[in-house]
Amino acid sequence: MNDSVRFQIERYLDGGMTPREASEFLATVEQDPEALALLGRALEDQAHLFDVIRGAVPAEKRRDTTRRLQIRRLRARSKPRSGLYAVWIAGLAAAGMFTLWLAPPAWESRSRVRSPRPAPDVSVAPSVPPSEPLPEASAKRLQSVAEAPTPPPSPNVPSPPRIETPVAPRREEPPPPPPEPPLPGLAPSRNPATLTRAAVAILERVQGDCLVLDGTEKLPATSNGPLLSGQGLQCGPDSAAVVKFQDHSRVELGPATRLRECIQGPGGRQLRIDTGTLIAEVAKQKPAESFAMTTGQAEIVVIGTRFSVACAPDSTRVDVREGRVRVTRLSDGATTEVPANHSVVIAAGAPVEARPSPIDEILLVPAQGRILGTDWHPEKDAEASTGIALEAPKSHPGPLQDANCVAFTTNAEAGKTYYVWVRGKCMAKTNRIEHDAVIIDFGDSEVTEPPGPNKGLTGGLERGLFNGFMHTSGYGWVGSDSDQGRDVPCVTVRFSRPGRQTVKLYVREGPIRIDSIWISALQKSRPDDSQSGPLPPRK
Amino acid sequence: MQSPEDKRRAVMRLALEHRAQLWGFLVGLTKDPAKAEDLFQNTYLILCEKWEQYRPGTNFLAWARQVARFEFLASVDPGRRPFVTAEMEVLESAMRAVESRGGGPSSRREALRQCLDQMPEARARRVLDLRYGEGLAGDKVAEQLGLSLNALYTLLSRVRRVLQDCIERRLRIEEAGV
Repeated sequence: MNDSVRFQIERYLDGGMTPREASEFLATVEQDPEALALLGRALEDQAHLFDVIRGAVPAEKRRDTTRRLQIRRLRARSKPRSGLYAVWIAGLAAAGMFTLWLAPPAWESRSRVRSPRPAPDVSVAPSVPPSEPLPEASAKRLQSVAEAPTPPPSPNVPSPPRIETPVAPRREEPPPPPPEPPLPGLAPSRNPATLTRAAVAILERVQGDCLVLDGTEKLPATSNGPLLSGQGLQCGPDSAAVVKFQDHSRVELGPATRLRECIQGPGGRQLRIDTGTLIAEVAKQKPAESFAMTTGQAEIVVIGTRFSVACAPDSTRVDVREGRVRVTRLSDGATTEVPANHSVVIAAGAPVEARPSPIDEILLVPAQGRILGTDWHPEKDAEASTGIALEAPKSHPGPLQDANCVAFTTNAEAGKTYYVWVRGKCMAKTNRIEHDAVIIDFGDSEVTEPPGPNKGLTGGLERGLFNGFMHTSGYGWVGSDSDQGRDVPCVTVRFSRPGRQTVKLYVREGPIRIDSIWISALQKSRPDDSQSGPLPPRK
Repeated sequence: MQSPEDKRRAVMRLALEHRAQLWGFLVGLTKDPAKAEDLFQNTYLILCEKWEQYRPGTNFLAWARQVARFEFLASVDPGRRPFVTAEMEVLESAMRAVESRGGGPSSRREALRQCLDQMPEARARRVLDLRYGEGLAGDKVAEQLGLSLNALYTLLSRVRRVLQDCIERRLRIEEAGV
């Protein structure tokens, strides 16, 4: 494996890879600490190799211009300025000395034009600069560094996902890949001029007044119509549209949203958004491809995730629900990675940093749970909101056993009061009042149960009893011990620490089926039984 | 307490000590030693100017690389900056991955020099001379040696592995004080 990586490193360092290959290669390296270390070592050793071997090669053979440039700098300036010069002079001199130490004289090596920079007039370099500042010629460029971050940036910042990264190859760019096969169901454009352009997506759903933007032309948008590369989409104040891409990525445009253009290139897709809001659900992208969105202030690059963008004239907000995106402020290149359940606001003057998004709604469904032991099993159920329910066919009296539960992991905020609702169904035909209870353990938390005959019988302060599913024939919401009446207050929970939480579901009285657990900061009253949670049903 | 003058000298000394890491980073980004050298020199000048921003005891390389990043970005077409940023991140991660390992830059360079002196195979030395001494691109080196490009990369990767093993061995011996 090492040999293969080393081979690719040589290719990469020689500029022998196409941008796509380089991008794929770096994506692979990034995932492998050993390969990453090999690349790091190769970079450093390469610098040493240039330094050491250069010294042994006759100057006229060398391709580099380093020393000639330094000498030119040393001789170019005619009029010394006070103050800043000394540091600069000495700095260059020290660098020159260092290079001279590495290589024999080579003043005559190949000339090369470069941007002028005033140089100090010295021929003998002091070991270290005696005093102050800097040449004014580079002031403009240096200004960009004037705000250079104070050291050091954290060395432990997690590496970002790879995106398409053109690598300035010395060789010719590869020809663009052949156009992808057309999306199913795409009708040919009525505009002959657009016939040669590839369709990048279809308009899965169009509601209200939406227009396809094609240069200066505006065409009515219709459901199932194509969106060609370069075209945009505009939704009116009461309108919305869903754009579906070939890889099943979806972008929902909200009211008053303008997607200026959608471009499909060899490196992926680029969407330019002028204003409005959208929700994107992006399928996992191939290593060499990216799915990028640009607003007036920011660029958002994503490999595969679910996130939303709200774009105003002077700011852009990105909320990430799943996965991870990279957001770059266009004005200064400041970049941050936004992980799941975090958001960032990009605006002039604001720090570019991801902050945890408020977590107000958590819906746990059977697919997210890990079944331990034999008390529970998944069961297909057309009435369940996801088509699958967790079923416990028997009661389990006595102390709770971790070996027999369904464990869910989720993120939640610490110290926030969450109201807990469980959607379930009593499966018993007779004596239903004794076959309709579950217990939920919230881990490191403080649980409050409302007054009731069974309060405190769960065996732990971090647990809540959910009893009374017998009241409905189908699925219904239960918030606490509601055998005596359905509309009693629900269990509340406050997690002791932020972030990842483990929630365990135990059966007390079976047979019973559980459809979902809704942990909400907002849902204080019992939800309607037809409601399946804060999100649309996932059937 | 360290005087400002001492601190400034210390910063400049650090910049030169870490030349290989900074320059290597820039070569990785530009794939062009000459261009990387120009960028390094600019970076060095800026480090000389901004020495007061460096807090002794913190990660000098991280700070210096930030400056090098700005220099590199300034040399790139603005439209490409968001894309090269990702590449910079990976290269920085790669260099960070080896920073904590033993053997400072100068001892590593010295070990490399000794390993090169011992290198017996003429062809291996020839390929290094062409590639790193004369600064020829891979295709030109391959042409001169009558190799395919893939064969050249294979040869280079093997030679560099041998060198790396040799360097590590020497550094271990040095650390052990043998």
